[in-house]
Amino acid sequence: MIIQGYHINEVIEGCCAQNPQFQKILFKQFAPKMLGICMRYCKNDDSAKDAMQEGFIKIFKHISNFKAESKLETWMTRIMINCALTEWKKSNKWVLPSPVEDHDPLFDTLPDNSPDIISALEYRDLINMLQQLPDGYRVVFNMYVVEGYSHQEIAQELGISVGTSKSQLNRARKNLQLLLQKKTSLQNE
Amino acid sequence: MNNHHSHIDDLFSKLHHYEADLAVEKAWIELRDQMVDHALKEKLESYDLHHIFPDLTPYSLSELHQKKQHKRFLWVWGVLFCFATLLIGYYLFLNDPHRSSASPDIVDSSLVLTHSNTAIHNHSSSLESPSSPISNMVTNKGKHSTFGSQVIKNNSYPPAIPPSNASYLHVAPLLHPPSSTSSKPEDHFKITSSDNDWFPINDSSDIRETPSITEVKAMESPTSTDTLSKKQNDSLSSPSPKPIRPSSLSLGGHWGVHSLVGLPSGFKPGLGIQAGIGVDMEKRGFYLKSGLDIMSTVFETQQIKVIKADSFPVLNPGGDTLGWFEQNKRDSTFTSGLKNQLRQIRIPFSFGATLYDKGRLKIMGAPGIEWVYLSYSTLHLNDQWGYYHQIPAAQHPRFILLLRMETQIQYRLNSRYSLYVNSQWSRSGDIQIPHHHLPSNHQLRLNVSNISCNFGLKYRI
Repeated sequence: MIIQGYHINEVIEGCCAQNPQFQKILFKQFAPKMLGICMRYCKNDDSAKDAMQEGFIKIFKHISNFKAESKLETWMTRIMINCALTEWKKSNKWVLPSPVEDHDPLFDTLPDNSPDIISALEYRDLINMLQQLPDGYRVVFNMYVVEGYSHQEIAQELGISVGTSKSQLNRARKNLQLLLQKKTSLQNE
Repeated sequence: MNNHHSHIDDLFSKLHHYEADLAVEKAWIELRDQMVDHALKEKLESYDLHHIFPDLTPYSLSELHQKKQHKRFLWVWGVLFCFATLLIGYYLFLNDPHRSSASPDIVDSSLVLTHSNTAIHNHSSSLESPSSPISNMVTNKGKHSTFGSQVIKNNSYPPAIPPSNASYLHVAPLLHPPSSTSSKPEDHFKITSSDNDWFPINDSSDIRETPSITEVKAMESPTSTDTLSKKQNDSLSSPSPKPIRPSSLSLGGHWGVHSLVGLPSGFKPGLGIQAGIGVDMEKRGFYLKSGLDIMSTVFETQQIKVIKADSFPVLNPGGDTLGWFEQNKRDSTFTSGLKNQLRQIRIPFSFGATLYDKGRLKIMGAPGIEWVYLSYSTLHLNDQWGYYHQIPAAQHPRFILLLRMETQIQYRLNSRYSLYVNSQWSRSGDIQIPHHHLPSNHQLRLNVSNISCNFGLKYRI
């Protein structure tokens, strides 16, 4: 992988030497992507930026611990998610529905009335909808749907039960369904 | 259903590749600032934060507890000592059952009279001339000697009691032969009082006091019967020579010098001055003593060590001072000559005993306690590594409890006035002075133990 004329390994070595030039290259390359990740997990854009900055500070500090076997982007993503979740984990404000809540398949589907509008939704709209979700819903939904974690992994990562993870996901879907309906109805009018 | 499920998830799963719009250059500058702040904070944390954030050094709970226990022990000890002293003092000085009924002389005379029955009888049997004043005085024929409820009829004494039983009062014949000029029977006899003690007999109550040896010796010279009687009456009315120490209350004033002892190295103790007043109450060889002393002590911190360092402020991008970097730290040791001064008001409280009392000289010793109030103090102390610290007045100890031992040598000028020299030793123990620049287990310590010598004048009320 070549970044701005440098091989990724050179960039990593430069960052290990705390060379600001290589740090800037790395930042420019991955900052938008990392900010996107933080925006999915954080409540608003400002806290997402803070989380991203904190994440990059950690990345530059600990980049010497990075092992070449894994992909750098994956490693950075992991750090960003951790930073985004740090404050949330401290407060641990879960919106806890009943863990035995039944799964309602109705809420898994998208509204059928306006598929064109839905397909026309931009990333920014989706991010906004995610940011409107309660913290617990948003985190579990992100981890399960976007990152591809299993419920077992989510439960382990967040220190919750698998049942809680599932119920959080269902609630998130339900809320998103309502938000999408609201969005499409507004646009239909 | 499965299709629907994946549908809503698919809509959001494309966010996996989402890249936010970001002004990268601006974000990079912000990140750089953040990184500089972060690095500075980390560097500050690696320095000794005691010098930057002194209040961050807490005292360990166990040490505080120990300190409190130590203080509590001293106060409990002091209070118990006072209580015990007051209790003993009460029984010795105030709770005398004979105090209001009769004088100690008369009380003791009952015992003397009882034990000396045989002596009286012996006298009467030994005296050759019953008409002599001495025989009249001692035998007291035809009268009943009474004392309290005890009635002694001299005529009823058994005639033969071994002289060895006459343990208290002896009337022995003179060993030397009577001279030709001395024809009176009283010249042949000498009345001696055993143990140089007294034998009070009150004339009015038919209990006669036997004259002391000096008085009897005076009677050895040939005098008329009237003269002898007069002397006898005089001797009967004169007080006995005080075998039991009476209780007394004395006031005294003194001044003297003292010096601190037990100061750590690096200090030079100076000579302090002191003055005070005292009151002591004495009875039966024991005494209670209290008073008020004012002392001014000066001692010198001879050598101090300071840390010199180059320092510069650390500012965040907003211009706020985060702290100070100290680099190139180095020790500097120099002779200071800094003076420390302590002005103390001391209230001593002692309970002691007379160790020696003969003639005009009297030596007394007493353990006790002292409450010290430090009215003014300046302290420049070194820690255990020799580093200098000036202690703010608010952190100085104010109330200190001392243990003390004193010895007093007293010389009686007359019945009222005495001169005395008082030497005493007081020990305070180490007083911990909390200082936020130092770790809790290496706090500064001060010791106000001292030795002192006072000269004074005492007036017996």
